[in-house]
Amino acid sequence: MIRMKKRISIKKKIAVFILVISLCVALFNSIICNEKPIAAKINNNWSFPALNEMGVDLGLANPETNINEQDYALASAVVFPPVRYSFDLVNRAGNPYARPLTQGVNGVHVFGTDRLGRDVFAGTVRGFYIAFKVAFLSLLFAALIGVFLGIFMGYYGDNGLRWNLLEYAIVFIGLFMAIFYLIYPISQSWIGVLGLIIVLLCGFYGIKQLFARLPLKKFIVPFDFFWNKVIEVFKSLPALIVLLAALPLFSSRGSFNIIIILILLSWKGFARHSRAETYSIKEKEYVVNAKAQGQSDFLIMLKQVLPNILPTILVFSSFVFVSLILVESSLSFLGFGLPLGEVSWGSLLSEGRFNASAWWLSVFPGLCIFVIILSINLLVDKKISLDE
Amino acid sequence: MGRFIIRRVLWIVPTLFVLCSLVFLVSKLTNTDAVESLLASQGISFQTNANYQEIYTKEYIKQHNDLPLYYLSIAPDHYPTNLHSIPDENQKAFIKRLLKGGYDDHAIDQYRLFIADIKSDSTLTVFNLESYTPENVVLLDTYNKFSQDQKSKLDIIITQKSLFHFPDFRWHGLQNQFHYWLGNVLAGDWGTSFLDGRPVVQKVASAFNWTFTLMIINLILLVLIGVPVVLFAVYKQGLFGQTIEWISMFFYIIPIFWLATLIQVFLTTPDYGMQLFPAYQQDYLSEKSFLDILNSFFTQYLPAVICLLLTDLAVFIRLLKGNIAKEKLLPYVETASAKGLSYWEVLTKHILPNTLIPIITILVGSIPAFLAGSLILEVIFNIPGMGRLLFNSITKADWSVVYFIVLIIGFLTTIFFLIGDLLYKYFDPKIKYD
Repeated sequence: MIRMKKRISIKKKIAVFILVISLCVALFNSIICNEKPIAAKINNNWSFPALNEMGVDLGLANPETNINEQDYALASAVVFPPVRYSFDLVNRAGNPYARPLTQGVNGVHVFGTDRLGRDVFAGTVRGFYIAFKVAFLSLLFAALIGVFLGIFMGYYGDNGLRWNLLEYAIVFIGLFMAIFYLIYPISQSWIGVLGLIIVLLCGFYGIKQLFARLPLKKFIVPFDFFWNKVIEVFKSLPALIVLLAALPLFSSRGSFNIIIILILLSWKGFARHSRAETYSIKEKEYVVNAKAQGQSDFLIMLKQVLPNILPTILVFSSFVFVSLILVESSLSFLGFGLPLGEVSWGSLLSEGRFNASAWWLSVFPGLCIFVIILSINLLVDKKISLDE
Repeated sequence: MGRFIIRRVLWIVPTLFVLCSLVFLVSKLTNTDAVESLLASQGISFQTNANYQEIYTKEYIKQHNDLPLYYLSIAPDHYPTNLHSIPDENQKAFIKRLLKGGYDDHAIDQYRLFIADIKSDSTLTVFNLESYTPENVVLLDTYNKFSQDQKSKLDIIITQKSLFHFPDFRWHGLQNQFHYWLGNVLAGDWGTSFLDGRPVVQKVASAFNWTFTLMIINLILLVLIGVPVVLFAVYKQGLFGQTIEWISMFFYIIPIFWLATLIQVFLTTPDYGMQLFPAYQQDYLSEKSFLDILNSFFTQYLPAVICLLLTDLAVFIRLLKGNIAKEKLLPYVETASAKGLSYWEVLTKHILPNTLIPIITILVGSIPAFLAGSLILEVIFNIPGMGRLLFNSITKADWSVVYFIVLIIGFLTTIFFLIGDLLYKYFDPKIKYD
């Protein structure tokens, strides 16, 4: 067998390098910029405050609050992060709008400081975490929902699925009950709620499969048609406007709310793309072959269709990722969504708008967004298509 | 073709109905009290009027807030049907909380005993939601006087009594809030803004003029600049083409709000010695002379137009260039060259019309998205258009304006999608819609 050596251009290498670095910065933001030490030995006990903050960010640990700032002075061995400012450290000495590279209390302010004397470099690093968290989580769930729905739409089309009346009834009742008990739960714990819904859905699916064997007249299921109409309604509103109108409905501010709305807004793109791809794939020999061998529809979708549409979906998700980062930063730019005290690229940029002489506030965070979008575009250099 | 148009137009009606229902129901989820805001805008408040509760209840019923929300409601079977007839928001919230924890006679009995225990007053009757009486106010008052410990005890009692419940379908007929709202909307009454008491339609219309002007200027400049630039870039490939490629790539990638911020910080302030535009100021077009309008165009419009134009031009150039490159490979181009036409003539007379048409239709389809895209620019450059109105209304919880704008944009999107599709089909008969 001849091995083809695939040449990767230098542009793409740089892009991958930048993206990997950004991902690391996003993951380790609390270790890179923190006024607390990474490791400190106090009274012969090692403690890891900065690592603990990172764990809290990633949802792996509970916040530790038993150590005071004064204790670190007494520590016998301390390892500090490279930048000894955290994004929310308000400078009590009062050092607002310090220029880049001025000396601060805990070292040099590389990117200067903002209105409250907070380090802009630490804020920019925190921006990586916020942007990547929102974009990754919403992309993941939107892709999961959208791709599977799209495959179903494309695979069954409008007349691939046939149910008899009893099946119709059972499917509608089952879905209705599941949604109903999600909105009006009978149990206080979410495990109970989810458990009941899963049991309900499985039970109704079993009954539906039983009814399918009955010798009754079957009708086609306009699956594709129905979901296309749903997508049309979702498409009729621009994302930013829905987000702005829906965010104040939540009682608390937090990136979790943004993620939920972004999932609701971005699944439809995945559904449309994977539907179109599945449509072209389902007539191919290997799918027809698998069908002739008697494989179940679900297995064909999982084993034949999904791997073959994945490359297109990956390309599409890179564009969605870009737009999600943009939406997140424009939201925080407008002052929505983020909890008070949190810092992201958008919030830094909007601060820069109100003090024109502090150019570092508006240059560095914007440059980060620009570089990330640039590297994604270099990595996936696909010509923009007409139906974008 | 005719059947296609009719079917598409007919589909707009249910789409808009669903959109209206969604917007209405979501607007009811906001925790701002519409009646209170309305009374406040008329100068009636709890402090100034002794019989505030009475006025409030009257207004509450006048606005049909005591009716069910929608034609149909689905709720657990133990939910009361007339929950909306309680005008007091706090009380409603309290009762909803009681209901969510599972509501049965036993829990209520315990609740009553609990209250009797605290107040050593056994005269309280069983809490009956189906017949709403002022006595229930007492219940809430009592609850509010509880200490935190007592409240949590009470919550435990209520929450432990969760009961398996079944869905209950209730058909409310035409006597519901949505029906009245829809009736008003169809009659052209969209309500008034809570902020200044002006009718919503009037407010949005004056804002729309600004955004519309911005959009039209942008579209015209886009085609006037974009087409020649692309033609030259394709005609003279070399350095000019490369430069255009890189510049369009740059502006395609740069986030629009960063570009706007940079323009605002560096070019509208004297701090860096590059003040091309005057600093932004708060002024409106109305009752101004022509010179003032021209002046305010330069102060407010020009930076925004440049921002929009640069980013849109980048997309336009990339689209057009990509399409021309695809089109150049087709056989008719070869025929035209064989006929003896020069490269320039082939480009302008044969390739351009074929590539421009789909792009123009896309531009038409993207007009509603423009309304959202200009939001940030309007906020940054202080243009009193739709985007800034929406932004201000959201931050000040002026919901009637917000949902009117959302509905308008949804409506325009549906219409413009249809127009875009029709144009596309008109220019390209190969496309078939079934």
